[in-house]
Amino acid sequence: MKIAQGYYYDGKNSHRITAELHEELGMLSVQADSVTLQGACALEDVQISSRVGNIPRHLAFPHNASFECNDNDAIDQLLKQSSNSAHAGLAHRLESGKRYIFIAIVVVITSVWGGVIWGIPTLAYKIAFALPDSASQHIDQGVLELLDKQLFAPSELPAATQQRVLDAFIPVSQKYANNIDIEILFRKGGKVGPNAMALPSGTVIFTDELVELAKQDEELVAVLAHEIGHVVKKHGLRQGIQSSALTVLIVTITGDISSVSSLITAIPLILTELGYSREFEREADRFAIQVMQELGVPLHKFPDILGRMEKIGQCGDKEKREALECEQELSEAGMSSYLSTHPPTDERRKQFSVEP
Amino acid sequence: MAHANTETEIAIDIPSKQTPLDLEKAESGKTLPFAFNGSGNEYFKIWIVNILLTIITLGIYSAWAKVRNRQYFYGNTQLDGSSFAYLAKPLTILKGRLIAFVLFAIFVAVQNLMPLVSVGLTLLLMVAFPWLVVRSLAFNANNSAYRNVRFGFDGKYGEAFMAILVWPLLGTLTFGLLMPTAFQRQQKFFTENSRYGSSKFSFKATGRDYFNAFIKLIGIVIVGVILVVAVSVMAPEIAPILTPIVMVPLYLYAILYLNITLMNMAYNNSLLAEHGFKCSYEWKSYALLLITNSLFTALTLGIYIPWAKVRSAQYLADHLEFIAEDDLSGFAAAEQEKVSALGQEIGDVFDMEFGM
Repeated sequence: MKIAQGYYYDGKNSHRITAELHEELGMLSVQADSVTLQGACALEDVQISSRVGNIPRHLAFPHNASFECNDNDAIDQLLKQSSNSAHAGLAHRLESGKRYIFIAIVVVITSVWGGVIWGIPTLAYKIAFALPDSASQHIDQGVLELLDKQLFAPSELPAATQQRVLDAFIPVSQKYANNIDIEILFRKGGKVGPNAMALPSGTVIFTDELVELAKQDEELVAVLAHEIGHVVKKHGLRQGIQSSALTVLIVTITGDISSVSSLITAIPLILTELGYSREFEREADRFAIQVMQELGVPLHKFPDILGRMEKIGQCGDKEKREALECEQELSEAGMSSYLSTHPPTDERRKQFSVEP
Repeated sequence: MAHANTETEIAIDIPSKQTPLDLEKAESGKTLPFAFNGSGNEYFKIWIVNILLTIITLGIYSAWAKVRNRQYFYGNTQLDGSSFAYLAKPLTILKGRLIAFVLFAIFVAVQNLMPLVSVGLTLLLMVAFPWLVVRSLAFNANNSAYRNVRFGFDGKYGEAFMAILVWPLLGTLTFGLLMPTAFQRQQKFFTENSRYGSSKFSFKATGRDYFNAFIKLIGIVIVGVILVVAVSVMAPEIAPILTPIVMVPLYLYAILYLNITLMNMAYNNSLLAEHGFKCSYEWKSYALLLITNSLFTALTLGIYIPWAKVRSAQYLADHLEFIAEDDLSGFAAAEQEKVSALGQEIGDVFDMEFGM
């Protein structure tokens, strides 16, 4: 019985013969003008390519001969008789049902959205806190070496100033002495300007510029509380895990042909990572509020120094900082909040204005 | 890492071919157009079901998804009534993918925990890169077939090292002057190591041909850069405004120029035995394709990706022809060899793309 019309190739060369596929009692054969090109062969021994859209099917016979055919329905019909086809064509059945497609769209959009907003951060949190602390112990040394090489210079603060600040920090660091090993370092920031940063296992770096910018030591205590928040909440590790997971997600969506434009995938990636970064800052802020309340440090100390840091960050050098144009630049800053690693200072100020 | 962009991955397996310079010969051949029969609506369903099943199976299905994606684009690409076929087994890809994933996890861990060691690892990865490219091209070619005859790729590490690392490095060190030669060396490496069955591809463009094709781009880039540098030295106030006005269109122009010229040069200078190719990417239509694809993909947050891929494949097929000197029956199959998917999957996981 003739099943379908198609092309026969013997597998030895590219010669093409227009031929017919025949089926008789579960045996397949290929014939052209009553000449048998492929002798009867059990259906089970023929490898039939799966149905993808409407692309032609290839039937691979033993000994390399093959039959190419456009009649997808005839082949599907044939496959129904085959015993080893119970799950064959599942993907195609999903792809051709309107209802399945609708469900797929809903599930994919929900899981991508939910994964980005909730799934990835939760996963990273669980992993970060499941890992033993020793995993991150050696990180700081390496990172510090790199920072010293590329960004920082040795501190030029007088020893007395350093000691005074360290003394002011004692109540905070003692609070956490049992859990983490907090080590305070001073460095000349240079290009970095007034800033502080925490390394994953408890090293906190203050730049000379930040110490000079502070009007009171309590402001620096507030900054330290924020930085310790990053350490305690394991933000460094979580950020690493989140960005790896995000990359995997994006590769899943774009598939393996990424020639459409790599810029197009880079933009959402960067925006999402910035969103994660702002969320970490908010968490560290909440942590700082708690610490400051426990120590009796007035909450406004943090936004006080933050405001001054922002002015310098936005307006550059000291002369410009005083000028009027700087104020204007600051008021326009709201627009760029999606492009920032930190939440807008106004928002943070509000958070710190909730006195107990 | 080096990126050589091509439109769709199908291009990898139909290595470049070109109309012989020898006009008499070109006219004696029969021009056979490539045809692409896929549609965006149809591929969207396959794409969304792929993502759905990949999410549900926590990534395991991604190997099957990759095969279905490729099968769709290969199977819908036809030449002279016969279609191309992608024959890779999902399990082979899954195995490679799992090993690659473990290696990647180790790499990320080292990068985060031991920043200094990771510099050494990055170097190691660079040395391994040509090997990965060769294995990836070999795997792809071996699993691509037309008329039941498989393609093949026989590149060696040494040549790959020169073509993929050394020449682009020389191109960069000479500020782009040797870049055209680097492109020519790469294309020659890819094309001349490719075969269809046991028939070799050959490549006849010289470094000089490539230099002539790129001289306009080099000139325009040099003028643009000089303009920007001159302005930022002489009138620093307007530099922040002028730089993007000059650089953004220049960047777009360069990308279009590169893609168009590389595609046309690659195919138009390649021969398969005595048969040729003719590739005619055009400025207006190609720019329109690229810009609309990027724009719609961004505006729909990625939902447009399936249509963008189909349009790109359609464009390639519409602008590529095969110049056949006979009825294409005479290509003999080669001895089959087994290539593991490991190289290709490591390359994928580390995001090292290399078309053509």
